[in-house]
Amino acid sequence: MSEGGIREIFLGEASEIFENLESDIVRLEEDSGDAEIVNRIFRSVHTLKGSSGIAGFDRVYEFTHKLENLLDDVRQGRQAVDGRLIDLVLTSLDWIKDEILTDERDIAEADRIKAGLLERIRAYKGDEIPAAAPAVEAATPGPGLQDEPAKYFRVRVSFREDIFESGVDPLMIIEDLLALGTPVYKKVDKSALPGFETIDLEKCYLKWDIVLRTEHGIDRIKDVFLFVAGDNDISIEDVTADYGGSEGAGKPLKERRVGEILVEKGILNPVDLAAAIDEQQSRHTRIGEVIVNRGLATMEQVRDALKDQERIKKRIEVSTVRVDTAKLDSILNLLGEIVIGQAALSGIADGFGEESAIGQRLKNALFGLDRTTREFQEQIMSIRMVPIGPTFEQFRRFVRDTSHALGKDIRLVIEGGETELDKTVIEKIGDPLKHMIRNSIDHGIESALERSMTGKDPAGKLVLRAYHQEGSVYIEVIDDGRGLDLKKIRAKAESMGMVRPDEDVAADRLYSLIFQPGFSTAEKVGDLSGRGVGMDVVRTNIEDLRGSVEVRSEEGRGSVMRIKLPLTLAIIDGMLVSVGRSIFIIPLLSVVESIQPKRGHVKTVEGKGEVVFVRDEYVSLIRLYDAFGIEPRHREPWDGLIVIAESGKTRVGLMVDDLLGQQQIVIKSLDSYITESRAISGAAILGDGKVALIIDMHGLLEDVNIGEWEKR
Amino acid sequence: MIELMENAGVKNVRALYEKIAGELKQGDEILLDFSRVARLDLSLIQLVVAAARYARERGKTIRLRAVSDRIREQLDICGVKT
Repeated sequence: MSEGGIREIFLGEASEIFENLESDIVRLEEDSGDAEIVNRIFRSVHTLKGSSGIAGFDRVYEFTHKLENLLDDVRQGRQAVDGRLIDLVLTSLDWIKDEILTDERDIAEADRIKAGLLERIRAYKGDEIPAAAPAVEAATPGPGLQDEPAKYFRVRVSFREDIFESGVDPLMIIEDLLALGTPVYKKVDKSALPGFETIDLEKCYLKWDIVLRTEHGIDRIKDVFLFVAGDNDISIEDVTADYGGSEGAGKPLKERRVGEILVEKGILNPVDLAAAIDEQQSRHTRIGEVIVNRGLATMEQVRDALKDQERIKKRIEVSTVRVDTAKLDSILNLLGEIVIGQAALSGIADGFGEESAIGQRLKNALFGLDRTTREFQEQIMSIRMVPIGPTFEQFRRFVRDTSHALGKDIRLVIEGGETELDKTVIEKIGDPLKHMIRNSIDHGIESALERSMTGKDPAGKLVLRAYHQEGSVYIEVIDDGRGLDLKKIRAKAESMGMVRPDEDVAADRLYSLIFQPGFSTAEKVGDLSGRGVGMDVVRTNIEDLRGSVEVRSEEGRGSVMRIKLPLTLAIIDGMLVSVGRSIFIIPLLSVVESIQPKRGHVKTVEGKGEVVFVRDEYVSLIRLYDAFGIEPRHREPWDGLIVIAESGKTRVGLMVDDLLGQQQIVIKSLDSYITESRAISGAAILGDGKVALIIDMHGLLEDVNIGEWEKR
Repeated sequence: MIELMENAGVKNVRALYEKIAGELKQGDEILLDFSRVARLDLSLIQLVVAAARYARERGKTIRLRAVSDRIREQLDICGVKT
């Protein structure tokens, strides 16, 4: 693989690691005694180190090595977990992120920061009970590893011949290594040792291959070779998984040899296995045969091991598939084409008439095909569905840093992280969520002092919750803060001319104003929020995802911001309508009902334009033929039909010629040069090959200048 | 009998080599006395292994005397059974 390819893979892997790491580190701060989190953090940093080295990020490799040492101390219980450590690890992570992800950075500045961090790491490692945490009870001891499971490392050492010249005794190094554990396998290669008459007494000839059972981490093993690692051939491999150690349990599956499986099962010991392997290699035979011949295991045990080997292979095969989402999109598009072809065939089958035997057989075959393609579609869609948990988790760091910056103590609670939604939706929901969370932290949740004075828990609570309901996904940002101040919102709305001073306005309607552009009741513009941009961007972003957002609040008790999203962006249920010779699709989620109005129910109101009277209220009327410049079959609403549809809380009537039915639609995107209109979000190809345009309700209302507020 | 020095190591391995070579020329059995030795270095162990092979090939014997547990352990690390 090219160097560029390796770097690309590493960058993808690193982004995932960063997300998990940040979340885990913040969680460790909340629960400093959780050994599993410490282990996960250590493993992530370890992976980051290894991969960065392979990808050529040498500076990151070296830095991460130091950080890993510090985390190993935490794992071993030698280092306490406290706020200072968490800050150090998070700041170190920031440096690593910058180093990997930022293309144009100030190297001198990066070096200065790195030097400072390394100094802090050194200082931290120097005093095991951190100076900033003098109170013993304040510093929870790291999750000690008194019961640390054994690990196995295979260490192969071949010193350079002239190592004695540098004053190093190789034997001392091997002794240091063995002092860390118990060798379960040891082979000394003396084959290079010359005869007595030709030996160069000042050269090193022996080589070692050792499997060490130890409770230490790999870094401790590496430390043994600290001063000779550079120019000697030393390899250290964690083979815990191969020796049945628990450390390997959470690791990716690795192919096992039959002998290794027998060792894992306790049938064979590693020393016997090594001897059997030697014999197998010299005789060029099968290892199972040698093991049975030597009486180390029965034929049945070897057969079982072979079966286990096969099972592991299969598990590896099914557990390591990674697919680019673009490929899934492509498959989905192709499936859409199949559906179109299928619909065309249905049309042909219908053409044969009820009495035709061929027509009937064709219909039967198509019925079966239809069922298969639907299942196929569902399977592809399920692959696109990913849980929202990781997206939520990445906010742990954000909540921590933001609340600390404001001197607040806020705990993030995540609920429903397993809720799945389309990957595309997940990718786009991060920014709006961040705005909402920031808003809650900045304006919603009070300071600890203010909370204490009102009898609340000094620590605020922010909940991110996700759940499925009625074919949609709901995401809620809930805080237990002061709630929205209706009086302030009202005053602001009046000052902006959105509400008349004498107007009676419901609380819900006032709450929704926070999503209006430029609307902010914050008294000062801070670093975080209060600029009046953000919440309107939130609404726009969510509506771009064909979703909606609403807010509920109770003064003094807190607020709930609720986002409603479609499960997927790739397929929608749509209502097909005709306007002249064109077919449009209105997303079914937006459709409320369809009516045929009476002539007297359509009128023009000053300031609101044309409206239609529906169920005791007037809603704006949009003649689609006007909006899209099409020659219709009917020019007057009472001759055609009105589809009542909504976007957010705005309800409008769309005048169409006819309703053609409902259908599940595979959305095909339109390039921007085809349409600049925001009123069209995409297209679909129908069964008869015709193209139908999908109406974007939010865009349509903006195009025809019907804003949410004007409609109320 | 050859008595190894207390600080036996790479610095004086040459002297030991000469002594062993001399003894091997003269007799069939050499006794290496480790009683004063606390630890060995690798150069010495390599020398002992090479000398033992050489002696065995010629029907001679090298015996080790007063081998402490520590030395025995060091020899074992280098694959020498005692």
